Amino acid sequence: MLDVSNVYDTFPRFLSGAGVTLGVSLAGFALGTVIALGLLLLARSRLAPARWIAAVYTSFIRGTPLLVQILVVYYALPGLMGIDLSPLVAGVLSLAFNSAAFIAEILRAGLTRIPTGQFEAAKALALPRHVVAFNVILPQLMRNVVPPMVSEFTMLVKASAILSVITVVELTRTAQHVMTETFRPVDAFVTAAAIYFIILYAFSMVARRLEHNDKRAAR
Amino acid sequence: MQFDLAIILDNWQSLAAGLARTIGICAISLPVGFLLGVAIALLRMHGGRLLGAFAGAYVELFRNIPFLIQVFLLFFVAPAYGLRLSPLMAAFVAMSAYTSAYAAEIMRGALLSIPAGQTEAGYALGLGYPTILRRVLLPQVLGYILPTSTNLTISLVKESAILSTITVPELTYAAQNIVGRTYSPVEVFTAIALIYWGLTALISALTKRLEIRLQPHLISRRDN
Repeated sequence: MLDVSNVYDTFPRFLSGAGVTLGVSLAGFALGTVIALGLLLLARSRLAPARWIAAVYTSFIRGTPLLVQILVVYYALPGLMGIDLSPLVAGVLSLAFNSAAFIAEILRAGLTRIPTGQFEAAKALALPRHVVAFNVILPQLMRNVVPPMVSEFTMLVKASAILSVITVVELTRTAQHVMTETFRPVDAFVTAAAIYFIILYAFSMVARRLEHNDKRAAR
Repeated sequence: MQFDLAIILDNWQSLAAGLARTIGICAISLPVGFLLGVAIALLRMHGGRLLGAFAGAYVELFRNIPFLIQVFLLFFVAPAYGLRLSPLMAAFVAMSAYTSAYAAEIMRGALLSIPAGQTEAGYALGLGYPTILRRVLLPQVLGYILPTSTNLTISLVKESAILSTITVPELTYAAQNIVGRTYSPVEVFTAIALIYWGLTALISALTKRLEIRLQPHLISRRDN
């Protein structure tokens, strides 16, 4: 049923679709990390309303489907704010808004795993604040945070398939286009599924390996 | 831009019907998928090399392909191989299969977390594996399974929104229909976001109570 020559002919389009998938995921992840840092500051703020905002935001993101978040960003946000967003911008924004809630949680958990003695020792040695942040805390935070961050990025790549609904021409949308042009759903979707599997499986192997190393180092 | 509440009030019946469909699909797929998942976990752990590898491949395939693509494979590709399903049937099959892969991993993690000595002690007492599983392992596994299953249930509810792409008349599809008729995306999409939020909050509140009910000894006094 699978027509190999047809797959071969359309394969370059799938590759560029996969490139867009990785690109929007990476952009969403980078922007999401920035938003997550803001969320973390809000969550650790001394002002109660700031903490509430962070808590409500996180709860909303975790409690609603990404598809609905995308529909809200693409269709509802322009109506509310009076700005028009292109599908690509709306897609990256919704991936960023979504991942921010999860990245903030990863960073928070990573910070709590650093013993307070580390902060106290740095203070006792009268190290300047930037040295404490970059040479004491950050290296330890990286070790706690990188493995779950890789998993989160994997989740984001997987979730980015939903962007096809708002016509971002990533891997899934490419498959839909190819299907309507060639009338061969088998070729189109099996190819897309195989490419997704290779990308996602590779990333999850990396995440697993990192977690494993992390556990060994902690012993 | 103003928020016109009348649009929600005029269409509340289609939204309610969509919500009922969403809940119904999840309520049926979850137990079916979970039972299938337990079987796959056992197959992966005790099924020998061939069946174990098959179960492992099953889990990895479902976990590493986006749910949207799984749904498309079932709805657009399976008919070419003689499996023609209505949107609703495709929804049940896709959701159950997706659940089973994640449930299998939850079960496997839970069973692996119990010291091997427990199983060995069971064998030493002359019990067969089914009895050990039912009387020794499963009761201990509950505390591990409940919180992770809550997360799985919530992500199942969220993934069910994707079924709208194959015209399953659940909540998101109902919303898209209303938007198509009234052209008021702000009100309708905000409304269903709030409905989903309420539904998942309700699920986590209910399972929290279930956890306390089933395992009072694991909850510290302070929390009660």
